[in-house]
This record gives sequence, structure tokens and C-alpha cells, in this order.
Amino acid sequence: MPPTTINSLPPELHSTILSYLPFSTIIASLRTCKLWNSILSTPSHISSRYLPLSVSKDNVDKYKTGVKIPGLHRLIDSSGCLKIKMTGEELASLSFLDSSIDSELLDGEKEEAKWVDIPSSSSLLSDALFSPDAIENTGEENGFTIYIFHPRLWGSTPWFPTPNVSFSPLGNCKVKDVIQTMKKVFVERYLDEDDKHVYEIMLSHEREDDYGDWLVAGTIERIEVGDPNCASGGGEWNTSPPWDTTVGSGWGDDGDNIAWDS
Amino acid sequence: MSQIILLSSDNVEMKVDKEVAERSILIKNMLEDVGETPDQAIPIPNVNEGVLRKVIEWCEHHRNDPPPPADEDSDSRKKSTDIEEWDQKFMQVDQEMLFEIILAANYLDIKPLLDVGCKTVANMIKGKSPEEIRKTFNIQNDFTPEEEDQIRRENEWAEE
Repeated sequence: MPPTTINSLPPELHSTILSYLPFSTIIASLRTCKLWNSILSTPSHISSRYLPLSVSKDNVDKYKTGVKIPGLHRLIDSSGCLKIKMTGEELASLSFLDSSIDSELLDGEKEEAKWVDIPSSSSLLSDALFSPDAIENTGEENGFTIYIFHPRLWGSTPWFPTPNVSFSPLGNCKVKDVIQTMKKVFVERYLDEDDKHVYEIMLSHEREDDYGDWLVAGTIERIEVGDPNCASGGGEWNTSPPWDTTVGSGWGDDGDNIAWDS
Repeated sequence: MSQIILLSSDNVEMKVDKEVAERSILIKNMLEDVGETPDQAIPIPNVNEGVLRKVIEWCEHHRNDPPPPADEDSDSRKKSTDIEEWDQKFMQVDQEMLFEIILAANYLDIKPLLDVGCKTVANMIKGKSPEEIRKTFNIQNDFTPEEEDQIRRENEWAEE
């Protein structure tokens, strides 16, 4: 009889073993063999890893107090949305759309009630934003696309893409890095010194495989400008973005390429 | 204390306390079905003497552990790979024995032992490159160069 090795184990035990791996080693495991690659690519594995306890109204409070529940990915995944509100240069609030809160149960302000704030002290902000597994192709979106480089390229490379550079999805970026970067873009590109408007930025994500050697990560779905006095209210946003969103992701191609120093 | 006899796949009889043997849900259910403590040896056809002794050793040590929580679904399962000291020492065996123990724990339905085994393997994988993982566990690289290249490119961002 041949000696017992890892290859003697049935797939479900491989799956159990792989479920204990940290994110960093999952990448290496995806590349180890076909069996592991397929196990790690199955929805059940991804969910067991990234799904939080289902987000019920009961544990929304836990998010609010910054208790770390694994799966910010999934919070954003399930709704596809992270909302960043900024007043001028200041981050006003950060929230995610909790699609598990049953909107039927909520009258009136139900849309607003589905947004759950993430406090700035929350450890969730140090989570990696998306795993590549969790990124799904959600199709065409209006607005423009955010590209985030691998951290080692930060500071020396234009933030917006050119086709011959490889890109990093948001997977290894912490939430706070993304916010930091978005602030930078806004402040440097769009804000006048005395601009105190409230900007509401919706960040969703998609995967774009057509380009072969790079992945698109986040997409700003919508940016709304409002009066700072109604920062917490809904319904008073100017629904037009402050610029023409048809510019799309072609920013890197039109010569308007600015290097962002870190 | 009542004792039962287990019979390994290579026909070695082992006497163990019923309570210890019942760490195995398979044996526990079997004994419940029979209703009374059997006089005859219970065959454990998939587990040889060396492995069965090792498994019994683990069950002896953990005989008084509280039963694992009944509703332990994957979401709430603690994903820590921490292993208590005694178990760590217990698992310091060669790879063949390690995987034999995992298979036996799976067959005998001893969930906590299975978890310790799987965590031990996960700890051996942690921090290794794909090539190191393959070498450690003698796993065949069954990707075509094209597939390998594709996966490498998809995950390039995560490489240091």
C-alpha cells in the first residue's frame, strides 16, 4: 500500500484544511494545484471565509461599536456598496448598505435606515477591502473606475491607469487606504479651497477580465453633491455629479495623467 | 468502569474504557444501537494498530472535554489555528502518521481531533510559496504552463 500523504485525503478534508489559512497563504494555495484552486474558488469556501454572521438588526450594533466581525468584504459584497461622505476635505461618514435589513419592515426612511455606519475607529477599516474571489463582474457601470496599485508602486506611479502597467485590485488595500486615496483625488482635483460641499461617494466593485493581465477593482458608482447643512439627511442631494461622468475610465488615455505623490 | 474491545484493521485487540471510545461518535452511535456493552471486539476496519493507539491516546487525554457545541456551522466556527500545547506535542509525528490520524478522526467521527489535525496541516502551509507547499506535501503541479501563468498574473498583486 502506498504511504498516506495529503493526496490520500478526500476533497472535503482538503477544504477543511484550506479554510484555516490566512488570506496571504490562500493566494499561494490557489497556485499550488488544480484541486486546491477549485476548492478555494467554490462559493461555499468563499462564504465560509468571508461571510460574516448574517447581518441582522441585532448585530448591526456590533458593527457600530467597531467590534470586528470577519467579512467586511462580504458586507460590501452583499450590497456592492460602500458609501463615503465627505464635507470638503473631511471624512464625514463611512457606511455600507446593509441589504440584509429587510426594507419591508421599515417605513418611510427605509433607504436611509439600511445604511450602517462604520465608525472611524473601527478595526474594519484595517481589513483588506475585497478579496479577488469576492469580486464579481457586475457589468457596466456609470462613472469612472478607481485603480489601485500594489503598495510597492504607490507614490511613484500615476494613480490613473495606462494599459501597459499591471494593476492591483483592491484586494490587498485596506479600507482606510482607499479612503485616503479618494480624499487625495478629490482634494487635488475637484475641491476649491473654500469648497464646503458634501460629497457622497458610492463605491462598488467589479471584476474585469477582458484586459488579460490586470484586474479592475472598484468603481465609483455615483457621486452626489449636497449642502453641508443636510449632511445627514437624504433626499436633498443634487443627483448630478459635479462633472461629466461620461469621461469614464479614459482618464489615463487623454494626457491628463498626473502623478500623485504619496 | 465498563470497557470495550476495539479491533484494528491488522487484527490487534485493544481494551479501552467505554467513555474514552465514545469520543468517537461512530463508536458511540454503534454502542447505542447495540444497547449494551458488547463482549465481542468492535472491528475498526480502516485504522491500523499504530494509528488506533495514537487516536486512543488522544481520546484518553481528552476524555473529560465538554462536547463540542452542537450548532457549529462554518460561519461561527473559530478560524484560529491555535492549538493547545498538549495537542501540538501529540501532533509532532511524521506526515504519514499525521494524515493517518486525520483520516481516522474523520472515519471515527472525532471532530475535535480532526480539527487539530487540519489546523496542524494549515500551520505547515502558512507562509509558504506554491513550490514550497508542493515540495512539503509531495503535491503534483498539475497546471499547464498557460494555466499557471494565468493564475500567476491574476494574483500578481498579492506577491511581495
